[in-house]
Amino acid sequence: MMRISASFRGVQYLLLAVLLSPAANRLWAQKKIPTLCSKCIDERDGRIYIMTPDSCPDYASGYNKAYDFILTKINDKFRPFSFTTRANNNVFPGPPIAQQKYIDSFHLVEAGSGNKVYQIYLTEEPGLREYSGYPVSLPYGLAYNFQLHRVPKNKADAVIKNIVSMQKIGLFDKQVNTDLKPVPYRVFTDQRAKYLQSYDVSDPLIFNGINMDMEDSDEEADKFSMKEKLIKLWVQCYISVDSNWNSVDMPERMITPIALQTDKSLYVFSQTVVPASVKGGGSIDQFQGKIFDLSSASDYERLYNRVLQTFKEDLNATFQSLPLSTQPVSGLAPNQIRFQRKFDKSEVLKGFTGPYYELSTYTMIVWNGPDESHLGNNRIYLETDYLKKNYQNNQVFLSESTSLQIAVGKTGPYPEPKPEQYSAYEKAVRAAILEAVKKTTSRLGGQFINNIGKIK
Amino acid sequence: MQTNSIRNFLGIFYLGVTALLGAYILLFQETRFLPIARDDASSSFQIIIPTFIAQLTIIFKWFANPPQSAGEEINLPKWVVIAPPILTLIILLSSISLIVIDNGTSLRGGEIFKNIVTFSVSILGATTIFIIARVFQEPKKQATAP
Repeated sequence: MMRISASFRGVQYLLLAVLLSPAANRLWAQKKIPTLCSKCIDERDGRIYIMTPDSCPDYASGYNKAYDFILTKINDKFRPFSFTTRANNNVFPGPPIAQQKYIDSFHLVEAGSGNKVYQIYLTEEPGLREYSGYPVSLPYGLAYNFQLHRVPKNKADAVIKNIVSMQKIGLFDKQVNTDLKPVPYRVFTDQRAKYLQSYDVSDPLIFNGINMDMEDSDEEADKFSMKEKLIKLWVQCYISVDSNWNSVDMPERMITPIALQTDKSLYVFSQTVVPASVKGGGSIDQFQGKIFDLSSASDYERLYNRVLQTFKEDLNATFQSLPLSTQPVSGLAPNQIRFQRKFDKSEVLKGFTGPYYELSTYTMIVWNGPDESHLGNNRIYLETDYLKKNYQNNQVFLSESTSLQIAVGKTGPYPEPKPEQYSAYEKAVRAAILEAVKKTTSRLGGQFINNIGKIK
Repeated sequence: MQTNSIRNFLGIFYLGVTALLGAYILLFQETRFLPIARDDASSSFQIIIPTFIAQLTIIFKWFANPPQSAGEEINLPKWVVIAPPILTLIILLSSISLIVIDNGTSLRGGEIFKNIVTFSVSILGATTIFIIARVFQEPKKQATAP
């Protein structure tokens, strides 16, 4: 009897652990946290610069994403000869309040909307490209993602020392947002400064007040389970200031994570750009990538417009023909193309099974961007036009999102399709898009190489 | 109607309907031969099988070990025995034909099939099940003198 009772207690603990673990797991949607080599971490003038060379074992294979280490980006601002501004009034605001009980007791509300505030959220470190200091809006289908990297033990103290020294700086890097409009019930400022602070995340009330959910890739389903006790989270905070660096509002409830200390290790955060995960609405991205290379164009603007016009015509033709057999939807935003097929027999799934009827919407966004691998590469996306001479947005990209529901009968409910049905549509959509690219390339006298139309 | 004839008729009916309908649903769901969704097919299967299998168990248990007094006459009108299974069979075949001919264009095939199956099982449950209970019952054991 006692043995049974003990096992039951064991099961109870196990269940409790499983129930409590998701909150802690949200942050680390990584199968494995890679460990940086000592040579990845360069110490110069008391500042830490992190890079991931190919020779580093944990990054040699499988980690081909370009990482932007947030600590490095902040340190970059304080390099000799690097332009940044710093407050001289020694203002050290605290981090935005994370515990709900304090939010409630202080009656904190969102400035502007007046809505009650809840959790604080992660936001990306603004890139070099946008001068306003506010986060860059990524094109449709892309999202920012944070990842953790373990710092080797012999470098942990140096990293912490660097962060703590920057905490003592107070406000820095004040920037002006020209997009803001004054509102009558609020002290208006168009300036925002940054500062570093830390959270004691060993307190679950603080940890739970920080929404760690970020857009993530397919790894969402297989989350890394961190079996370490969380201690401290260092973050970059943002606050509205006036021209004299005096804060005029409460700290913004968006923070950028820099480093995390646990009872066993120290971790630093990197940010990168990943394809946005599918979220609700039954939509799925079926195609993403470069479709035209116009780098050899003599008159880029004219060619770009001509390519777009021709491509839209060809896309209309391929999406209206079998097997997709859709109808175009008009009245959309520029560079957005949409096709639909409503309650008609699916030609894609035609076969022994069925008959299937579909309710499908294909939405495509076409945009131009810089050369190189545009998708999934934060550094290039943010910095290519900054670094490159004679820079031009001369590549054309397309992102397609499909909303699909399939029913066996024409009437009745239209449930979500099965994976094999999705993949059948993915093949058809990909074939239709590439066929349109090929046709456009051919019509404009270009070459269709590696699924990209190179047109002069 | 002779008791043995009733037993044979009901035995063949239940075995045939259970096996053929079960296999038909399993094999041809989401095809042009039974254009209903997998969920509806699964629900229909779950309605039919437990009820019909229970009847089959009673029937085959009796056939496996028939009592000596098996040849007794039972005074029942013929329609009481034959009509419910035949009507049920007609209803089932008609509805399957209708769904197949419609091929998902205008009818809500899954819903119709599910309702028809429930209806058929209910009819048999209200009628033939009592006949089965009577003709396949085990003879009462006679008390033996101490």
